[in-house]
Amino acid sequence: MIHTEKLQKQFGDKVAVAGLDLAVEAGEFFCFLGPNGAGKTTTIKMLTGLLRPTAGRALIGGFDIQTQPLLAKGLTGYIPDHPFLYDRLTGREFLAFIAGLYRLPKARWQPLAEELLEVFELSAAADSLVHGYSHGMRQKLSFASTFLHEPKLVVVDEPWVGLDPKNIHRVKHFLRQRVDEGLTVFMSTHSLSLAEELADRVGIIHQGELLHVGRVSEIKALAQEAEAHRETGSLEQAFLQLTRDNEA
Amino acid sequence: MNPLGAIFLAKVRMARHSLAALRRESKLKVALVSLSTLLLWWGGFWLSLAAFGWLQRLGTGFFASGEIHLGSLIAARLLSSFAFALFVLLLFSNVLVHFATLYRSREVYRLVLSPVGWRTLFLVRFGEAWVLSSWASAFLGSPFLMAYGWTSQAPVSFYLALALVAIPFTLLPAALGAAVTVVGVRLLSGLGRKGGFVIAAGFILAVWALLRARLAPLLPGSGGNLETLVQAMGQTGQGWLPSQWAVDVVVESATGSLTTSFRAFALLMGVALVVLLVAMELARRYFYVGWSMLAGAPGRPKGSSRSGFLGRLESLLRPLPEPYRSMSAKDLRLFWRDPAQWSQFLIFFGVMAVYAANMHRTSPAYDPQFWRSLLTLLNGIVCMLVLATLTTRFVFPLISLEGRRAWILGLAPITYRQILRQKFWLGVVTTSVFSLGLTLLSSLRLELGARSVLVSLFTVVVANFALSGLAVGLGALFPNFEEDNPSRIVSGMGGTLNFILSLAFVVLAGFFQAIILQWSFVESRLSWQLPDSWVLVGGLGAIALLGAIACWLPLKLGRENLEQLELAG
Repeated sequence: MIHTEKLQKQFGDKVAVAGLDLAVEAGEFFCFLGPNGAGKTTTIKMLTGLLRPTAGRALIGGFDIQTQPLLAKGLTGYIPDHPFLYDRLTGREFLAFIAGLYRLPKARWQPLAEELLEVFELSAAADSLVHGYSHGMRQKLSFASTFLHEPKLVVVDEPWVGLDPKNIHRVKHFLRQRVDEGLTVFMSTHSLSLAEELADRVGIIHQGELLHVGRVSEIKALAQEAEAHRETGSLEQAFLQLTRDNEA
Repeated sequence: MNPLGAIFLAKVRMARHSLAALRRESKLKVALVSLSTLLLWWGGFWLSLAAFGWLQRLGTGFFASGEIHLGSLIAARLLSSFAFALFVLLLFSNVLVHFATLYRSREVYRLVLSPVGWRTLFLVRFGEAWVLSSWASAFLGSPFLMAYGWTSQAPVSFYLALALVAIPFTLLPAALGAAVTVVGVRLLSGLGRKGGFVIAAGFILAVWALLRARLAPLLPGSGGNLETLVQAMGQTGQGWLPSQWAVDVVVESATGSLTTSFRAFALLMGVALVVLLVAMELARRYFYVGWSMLAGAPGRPKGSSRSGFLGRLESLLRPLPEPYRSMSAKDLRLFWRDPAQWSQFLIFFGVMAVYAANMHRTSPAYDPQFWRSLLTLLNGIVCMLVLATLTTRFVFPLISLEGRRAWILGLAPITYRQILRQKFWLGVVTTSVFSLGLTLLSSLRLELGARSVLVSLFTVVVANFALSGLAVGLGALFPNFEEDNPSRIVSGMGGTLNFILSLAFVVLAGFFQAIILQWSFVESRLSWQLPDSWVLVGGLGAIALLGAIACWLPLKLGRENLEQLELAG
């Protein structure tokens, strides 16, 4: 579903992402880990077409996001960490607007919108202006709008900001269920325990370079090899060990 | 350092960063904007110089009060009318800008959280609003007033007085506007939508009735002559009007009467400072209450979004294909739910209505063909100027207003061409309603002939396309996604350039229109013989070509610029 070749992004002299080669299969839950400023969000924005790569390319479902953007974007949904939405639209109007951008027929999107509003417990607030929504409600509306066009790939950038434990549980369950039905999720997160719980595979990026890609168990094993004398029981310990080794 | 100093220092640093960012802009862009600005200023100065020079040569006239030098009298009355109109505009502008700056800006949240008093917070935001709402008036007023000084052969002290009087002349409406805003928000936010509407409508009606009662008896009637016209103009020169105090400073310093000039200056400055103190006190009492009521105002109650005009938008826009329908519905909803936007729009609408309504009073006075066609031309130019203001204020910011939500459009499977096309057609359709309506109504009021009406309508239709294309194109060429306040978006480099180029279009289109409407006069001067139909077709063709270039080129450049941008949000 995602295929990148030597994907690179430079901001002036600073290399934010350095020649990323990555493949994520359809129906996979992929977690992208890395410390602050590692290049996660830049990678995500290149995958969604919001940033242009300095070099290399990214294919979404076989379509190049730069040369065939409309086809690639039609397959993709994106949930940012801080969703800036239109404050003077109601939740329901926002969903109608998104449906229009994707040219969805009313008969298709309207029942789905009601269902998504129900799933994310927004039905009661759907006719209120987004201006009055809490951060968590905005995040949930962003989730609902993303799934409106039934994307094949959902790219999520740190989705837990502003969500309470109950909603984190709901979103986790929702995403996992959709992946089981064939959706591909590419998620950047700082929550290593959630990555450990949800991910089929994990990629660790540090200082713009992809350090390791593999199953959670493989990453843990790698970290154990790197520091054989230390107990590396969790993904968190493995992550800290691997990024420390790279800095050294 | 006290909080006021710290905030001021931060503002200075931000301004310095903005200037540094300007240095990183394309040199061609900066040179183009600077040159156009200078040309606009020079054009205003030259035109005013010609007008005041003409007035100087007018000679004397006999009035009921005796023999008077007509030029000096009309020049003084013109200054009074100009100052009065500018004062009223500044007052309106300040109410709107203060609402956006004091109550809608994101920066206010940070200031409310910080340990600064309400007076300090008010002063910080007041300073910004004052500059924002006044710089354009100072820029546009200065060539007019300097031309007056030049033709009056005023001493150097006149120019110093001019610079000094600009301070209290802009400070007073700013302080008044701030006070009205603070009290208005406090009252209206507590009353709810309907109560607020009734109070606002009542206030507007009261102001209208007051103006009508004072001005109507002296307005020139259908049999109006120069004396009644001069008398009517004198209404704006009454001693109790602060705008007249500013005129006194200017006129007295031009004649070298510095003591009288200083007295008027002191009066204006004193009143401005007292009103500022009152505004500060009102802010201390009422700002926070109003702000928190607005900030905590509940979203629209459930169900209401499906009723009324906004609720029926989807069905009204049904003939449009997607994604244009959804984008247009979104833009119209956001516009209508933003008080700063629609209130300015209503003011435009009111000014246009007053203009059209007053037409019938003047028409019979202009009987000969020359004057009637000149009046047609001037009316066409006024309609295009209204259009230029509308597109600069409301169409130019459309792209920038996507702001931090630009990622939503960047992510959707739509092209930049489609985004620009939607904004362009939205601009054309919405402004057409007003510009065509105004042109038609004013033409009918003036009882113009069919040929004149058709030429006017054709020019305005072309201007609609050209000025909307220019505004959308330049809006995409100079986007400001960091700013949510449309007034600030418009007052930037792109907005200024858009207004200047719009004016240039109006001048050129007016020139071609003048050739068509005044052909018999041009023909007699140039001793050319061309059939009327050739002139008509050639002139309209030139207007259409000019419009096509003004529309297509900025849209193309704007699209190319958007394609280079990264709408990362």
